[in-house]
Amino acid sequence: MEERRVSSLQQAIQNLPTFQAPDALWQAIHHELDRPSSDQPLHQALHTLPDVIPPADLWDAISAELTFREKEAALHRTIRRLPQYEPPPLVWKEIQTTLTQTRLQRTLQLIKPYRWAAAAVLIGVSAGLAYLGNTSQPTITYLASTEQAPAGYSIEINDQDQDAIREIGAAFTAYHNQYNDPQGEELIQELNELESASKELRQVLRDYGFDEKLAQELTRVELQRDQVIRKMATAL
Amino acid sequence: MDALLKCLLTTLLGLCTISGFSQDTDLLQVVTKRINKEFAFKEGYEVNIDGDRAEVYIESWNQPLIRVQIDLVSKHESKSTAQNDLEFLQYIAQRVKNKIYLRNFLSVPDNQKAPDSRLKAVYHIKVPAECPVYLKTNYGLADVENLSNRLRINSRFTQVGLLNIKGWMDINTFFGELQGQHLDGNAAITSRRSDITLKDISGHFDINAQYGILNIFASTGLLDFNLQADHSQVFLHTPNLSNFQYTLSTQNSKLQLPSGMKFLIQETAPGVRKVTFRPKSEFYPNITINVRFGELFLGK
Repeated sequence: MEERRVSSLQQAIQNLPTFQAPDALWQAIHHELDRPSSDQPLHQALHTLPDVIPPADLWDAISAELTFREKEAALHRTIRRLPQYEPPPLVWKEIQTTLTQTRLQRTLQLIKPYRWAAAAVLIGVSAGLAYLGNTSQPTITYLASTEQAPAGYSIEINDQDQDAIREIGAAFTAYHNQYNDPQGEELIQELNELESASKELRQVLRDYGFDEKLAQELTRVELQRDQVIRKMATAL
Repeated sequence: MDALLKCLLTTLLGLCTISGFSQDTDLLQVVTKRINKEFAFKEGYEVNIDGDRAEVYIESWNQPLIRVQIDLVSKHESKSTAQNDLEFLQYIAQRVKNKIYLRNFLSVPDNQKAPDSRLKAVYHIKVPAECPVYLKTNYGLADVENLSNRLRINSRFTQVGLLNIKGWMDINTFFGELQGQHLDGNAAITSRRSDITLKDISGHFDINAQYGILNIFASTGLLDFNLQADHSQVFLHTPNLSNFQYTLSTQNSKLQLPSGMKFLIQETAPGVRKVTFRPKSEFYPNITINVRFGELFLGK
């Protein structure tokens, strides 16, 4: 295109009319050029002007500007020499589509190349959640109701009974140590076990509150203990 | 007039008595914290339950899931007291590797007063039939149904009920009660101061019992039965008495045998008797019982 312009310009210049200056004009120009410089008013005016020395950085700025302009001109010259290509219609179509896309569509377009990696990550996360989901979080709810309380029950043993049990146990132990009763060891072990069970059940009833079945169990334990005490008392 | 006065006084006294009884029973506020949780079941998993003052109900279903519902219950006349005391009842429900742990316990900080409310935990658990279960329970109740793999129970002061259990059973009970029905497999039972009732048992059974009352109802599927009982009363019922081989031994114990069968009875020492019976068939299941300081009853 630039070449066409140059050729067009040249053509236009050639088509311009030519003018021949008269001879008197050329004689006046020669005369003026031959006149000594001291007679020329411009030359005189120039000599009368004061001398002004510009600052050093001014010349640097002018030099830099000239350099920049030279480079720019060189760049333009180089660009003009580059080969030029006509892009295919698809490119113009893509550009048109991009310009008319919404922000969301542009974002989706950006991540399109990474869709397989994203899918792999999603599957991995889902698998992890599914694995963790094997132990799902508990759901907790609170309920309230009322019920009739059973009649009261005292779990504390009578002091007199406790003293009697202790007394018989101690007496039988002394008796067995002295006479080595054949059933002595077994009876003492039974009594200890039943005493321990009785204490354990009482403690549970104190910690967790009254419960009918546990209270019945306590009664059963104490009946068994009473049988052992009677056997001991009989042996004494 | 006197009769009328007496009647009025009696009625008045009766009304006072009823009134007195009514005042003895109060209304309890019941506050429950219900926890629901599910675990996926995989081969090799086992459910471990440690219940303290708990009622445990275990049954099977056909889902590959273990569903757990834990109710922490607090009862008191005052609702606010019941709610406050409920916080002392803690639970654990989590899976660690191949074991699912379920547990409840009482946790009272040192600087706090002991709870006044009646507290307990109730478990409702559904597991696949092939899921092994280990149950440790104190001072409560346990009902287990329809399992067919491995069942271990360690109970203290607990009533244990088993229904339709197959496979391998290891049961240890102290001061409680064991009732089983339709048990088929290899069972080892150790019992101290517990009463045992087993109905329709098949397979191989080994029982060691002390200070209890044992009622055993065998079925035709019983292959091998061994019982060691001390200070216990044993009642063994078999449907076809003469189809079993019996080896019975009693020491200082009462013995009652069915009539019409030719038992060989030997008194090897004072108070020690050995009783044997062999059926006429070639193959027969064995019943071996040793009772010391107790009673043995054999019949239908």
